Amino acid sequence: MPPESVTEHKHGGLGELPATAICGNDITSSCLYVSALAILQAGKWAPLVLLFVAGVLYLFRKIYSEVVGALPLNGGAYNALLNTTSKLLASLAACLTLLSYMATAVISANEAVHYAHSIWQALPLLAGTIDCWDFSRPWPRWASRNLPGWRWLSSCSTS
Amino acid sequence: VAVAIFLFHILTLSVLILAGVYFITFNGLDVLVSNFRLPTEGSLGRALIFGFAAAMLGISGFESSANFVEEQAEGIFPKTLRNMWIVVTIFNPGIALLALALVPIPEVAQHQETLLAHMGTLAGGQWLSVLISVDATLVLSGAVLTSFIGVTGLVRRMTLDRCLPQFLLHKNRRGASHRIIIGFFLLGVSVLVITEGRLEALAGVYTISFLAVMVLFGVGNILLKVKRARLPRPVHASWVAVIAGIFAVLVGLALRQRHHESDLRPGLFHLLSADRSGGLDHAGKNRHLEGMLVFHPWYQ
Repeated sequence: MPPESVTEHKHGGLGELPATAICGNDITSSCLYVSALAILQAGKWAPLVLLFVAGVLYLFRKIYSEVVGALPLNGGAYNALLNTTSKLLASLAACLTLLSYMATAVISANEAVHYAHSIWQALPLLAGTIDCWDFSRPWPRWASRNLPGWRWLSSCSTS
Repeated sequence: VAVAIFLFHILTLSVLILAGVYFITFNGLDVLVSNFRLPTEGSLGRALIFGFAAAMLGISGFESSANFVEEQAEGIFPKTLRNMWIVVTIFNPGIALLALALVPIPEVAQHQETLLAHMGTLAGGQWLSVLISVDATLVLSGAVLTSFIGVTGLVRRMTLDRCLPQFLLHKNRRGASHRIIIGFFLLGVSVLVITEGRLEALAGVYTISFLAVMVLFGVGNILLKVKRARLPRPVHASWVAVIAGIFAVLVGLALRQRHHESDLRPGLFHLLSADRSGGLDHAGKNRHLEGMLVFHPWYQ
């Protein structure tokens, strides 16, 4: 079943910048709070500690490149384990990945909305222009706008 | 959309750093020097290890690129990893160093939630602080977009491997796998409704699951070396690197579990506690966030 040496890359797929941007948004959003956390824990050693983490990331760069280079399929850890162990273990990895994505999405959305909320409270000037948006509860409206929003988004992202 | 957000974010961080450097050249390094004169709390080793565990949060999101390789052109994947690594290596330590040069350590705790905005106020004034808050809103929305993309990639793969029901594969006429997207969206909403917005537990789930995914990736790599040694691959990670990487993440994971209630995503909790009273009723008015939060710029 594992498709050996099959490349599933889309012909004319995403280039370097869009691909980097998509995952870059995820990883760089952590810049917003990690410095504070590191300083609280490590004090003056925080920059050193963060450099060390960057070193660990360097190791994982190699690891990811090897795995994905050998099996260029979506799915990350799931895919690696599927091709080396059982479907059960691979599904476990997939569950963890889904959990982490779900948590990212919910937490980031909530935090984004609250940041926006904090600007709105601090700045009456801005509030004048955006008072038609109620930032505190995006969810139900989201759901109802989901399908129409599609068309709008696809037109603005392709242009 | 993702590109615009990303570039804006990088630009904002660069502006913050430049403003900080500018501020320091005019106001001297007194704060930095006095920060470095402070004795380390507890032992040095303790500070380093717990700091390391906290700093592991700074690389969450690294795994996301692997979940949409199929959508990337050939040979792009290693470049995305390299670019992410460069960004993290420059900005995370850079901003921490800058924070040490601008804010005395005892004050960091007071501004924990919005340290960057506070740094902006110190270095550039109110405008920079606002810029950073706007940027935070945007980039966090971008992170949501990323998770939708990653999930779609993963779920499609799993469905193709027949781990999940086949109706998920259905695509709409624009080529988006809308059933996966809607399903994931409903999942997110249900979590929010069930927890009533109190996401402390979810933050713990987040760190632990992402660190576990990294460990599993490393394990997958080892197994790949052992069991599928002949599969052609462009890059080889050395054994030492793999084992050191896994070990480092395990250290982070172990310490995280002991610590996660106290310090995870403090900004979130702080802000959340303020505004839990409003019901779901008056949410009908925001119409700009949802656009950024959902979907797939390139599928179309």
